[in-house]
Amino acid sequence: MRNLKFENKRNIKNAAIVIGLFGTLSFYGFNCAPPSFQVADDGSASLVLSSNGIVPVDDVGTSTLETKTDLPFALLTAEQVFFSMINLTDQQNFSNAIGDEYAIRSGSFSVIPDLKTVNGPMLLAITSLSGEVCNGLVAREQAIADVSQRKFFGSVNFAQAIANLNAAGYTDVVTKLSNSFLGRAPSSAELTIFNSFRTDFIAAIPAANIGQAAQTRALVLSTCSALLSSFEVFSY
Amino acid sequence: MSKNYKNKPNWALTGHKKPVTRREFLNYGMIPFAASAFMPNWLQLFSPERSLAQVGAGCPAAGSNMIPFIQLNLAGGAGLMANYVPMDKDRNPLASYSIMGMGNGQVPIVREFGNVPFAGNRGDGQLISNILVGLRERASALAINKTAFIGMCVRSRDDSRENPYSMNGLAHRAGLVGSKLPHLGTEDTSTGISQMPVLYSPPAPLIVKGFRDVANSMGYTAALATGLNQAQRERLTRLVSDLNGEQSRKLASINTGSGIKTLIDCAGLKNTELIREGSDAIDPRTNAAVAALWGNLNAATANNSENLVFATMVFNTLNGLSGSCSLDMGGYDYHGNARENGTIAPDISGIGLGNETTNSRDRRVGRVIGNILQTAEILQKPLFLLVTSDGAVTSDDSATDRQSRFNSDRGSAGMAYIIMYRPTGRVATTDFQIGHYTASQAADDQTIVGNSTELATQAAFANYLKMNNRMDLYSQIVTRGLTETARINEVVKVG
Repeated sequence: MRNLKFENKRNIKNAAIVIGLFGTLSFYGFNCAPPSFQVADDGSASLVLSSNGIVPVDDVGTSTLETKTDLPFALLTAEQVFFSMINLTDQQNFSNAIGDEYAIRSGSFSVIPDLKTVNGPMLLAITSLSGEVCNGLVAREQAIADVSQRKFFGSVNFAQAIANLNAAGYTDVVTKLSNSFLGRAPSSAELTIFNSFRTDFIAAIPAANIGQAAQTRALVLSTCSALLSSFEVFSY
Repeated sequence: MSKNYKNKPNWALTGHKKPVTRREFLNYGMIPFAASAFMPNWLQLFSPERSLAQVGAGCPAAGSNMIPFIQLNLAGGAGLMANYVPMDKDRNPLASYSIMGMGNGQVPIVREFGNVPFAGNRGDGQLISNILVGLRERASALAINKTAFIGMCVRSRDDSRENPYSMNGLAHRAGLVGSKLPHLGTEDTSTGISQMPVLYSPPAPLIVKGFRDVANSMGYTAALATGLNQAQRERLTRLVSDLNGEQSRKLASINTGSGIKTLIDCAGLKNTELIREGSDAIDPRTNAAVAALWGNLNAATANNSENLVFATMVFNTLNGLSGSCSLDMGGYDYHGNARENGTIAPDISGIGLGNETTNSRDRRVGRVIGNILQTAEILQKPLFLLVTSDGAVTSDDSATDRQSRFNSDRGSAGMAYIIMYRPTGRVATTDFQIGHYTASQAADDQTIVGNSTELATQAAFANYLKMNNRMDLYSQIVTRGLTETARINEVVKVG
């Protein structure tokens, strides 16, 4: 190779140029490069891009209008919210009631991960769904007679009136739910909110029903539902 | 001192530790600063031009300032072109309508909505256009006088749910949202009707099979509905609102985050109102005139009554409580049925699939359109209504029979209606037709909209924006298809 004649060197050089040109052209015409030659858009070409006629998911939320944002947070979509709730409460084999609630509520959820699409019906739907998911969780824990084996509601006696669940016991419930759902302990502000809620909730019970054990369950169910449908659960 | 101050990084000045993770960079505003160059002007969507009640201090007005939009889809390929009479390029009648079920070119014409041609008297005092018959039965002359109509000549695939023909995703992009409810639809599809979206899927619509589907959206269902009393449900709603407010505080320090936080706070505040109001706020039966119009609706009306379902959807759409409304009516693959008038139910409901003729089905959809227009008149709300189908029909070839039987599908004779109501008076239009028919009695596939339901939908959307006086949004939303100014101008007929 070291003793190649000038002519051979020139041939190799020319061959390299040709190969390089072919390589460039082949990249140019295929996926690695943007298309350079386009026919004029006469508007008659089909706009349906996928084979099944469904507008590609990428087209949802990539419009030039109102989608670019500097927010470091986004909204979970319907399925993501649902499976997040299911996983957080460890109910992979969820009941028909939970599935039914998701079916009738998912229409109010967002299909794009944009927090700007949050609206009232969506938040109500998320809480309503979390209510049924928590109903399953409470039922499962309620069935565990040995309270030390309960993950969330060890401080709750579901057979007694709501007055039996004191502030310390209630804080224990909130703390365990928060640790599990949010991955952190509740802040002092959140604890204040929950304690205020507990007081209001009990005040809203008619005197005739105050001794019912079902009210204890209702308080626990509401607390779980609120945490499971809070901002940190439906966003990321 | 000053020099040292300048040398301190922003994260130190703001009291943060040195950012290490992606999340910290985002939180400290470095990435947001870079992104701010692309900050969209979305906030205008929350500050409508017209005055709306505020739910709390600092809360933006609820809902949208866009005109309510309803799409009525007739599944199966309706004979829309045998009601509105399509004209040629010069807006003259075709030489013949013999395979369109209306005989030769001398079709008697009756003008409505100003100067719009419909198939008129067939010789016995009855109109050929039963859509117009039904419409006139339900919409008052006052409502009709405030309504503009444009026929759009567009081919579509017969008996197909895959025509890209749904406008609600586009309307949503323009900012059409409900103040209390999401978009509503009757079919369990991404659009709520048996049509595909154009360019954008809308947020999943709430599928309405019965009144309770909408009512449930105004409160809790399942465990929270049965396990808590009303007062406890209200307190739970406030708890969620307070929690969201606390947890979303982190957004307030971010450029666009404060707007989102306000949105979340206000949605929570509004929900406490919704829970208190219950379903009365969305029940059309609370308006006596609307209830009477839709078949004397009352407390005993069946939950899944078509009258109640349609009335609920239209009522809430026109009032701005929901976003767009997508109504689907089945049974329009009706070729082969007898054409002439048969028995028709006293309301909009069917009278049994085997008993309806082609004309009675047309009359029924006319009644639905009439009811929608009259509801807008009662509520004094503007409306943009798009009537579509999948394909169309052809008739026995007859030059003399003005009501010849439809015997087969024929998507090349497709048609869509754009109907616009404005309470202050009819919207001015420069033409009553987009595109045209040819001598072969088909929509001309050489026109802008003639061979593409997608472009026809974009054309309808352009007219919707024009009616809203928001053509500035068009180029931001429609980025493919009908994008050239000259072509857009050709299909915009709103003056």
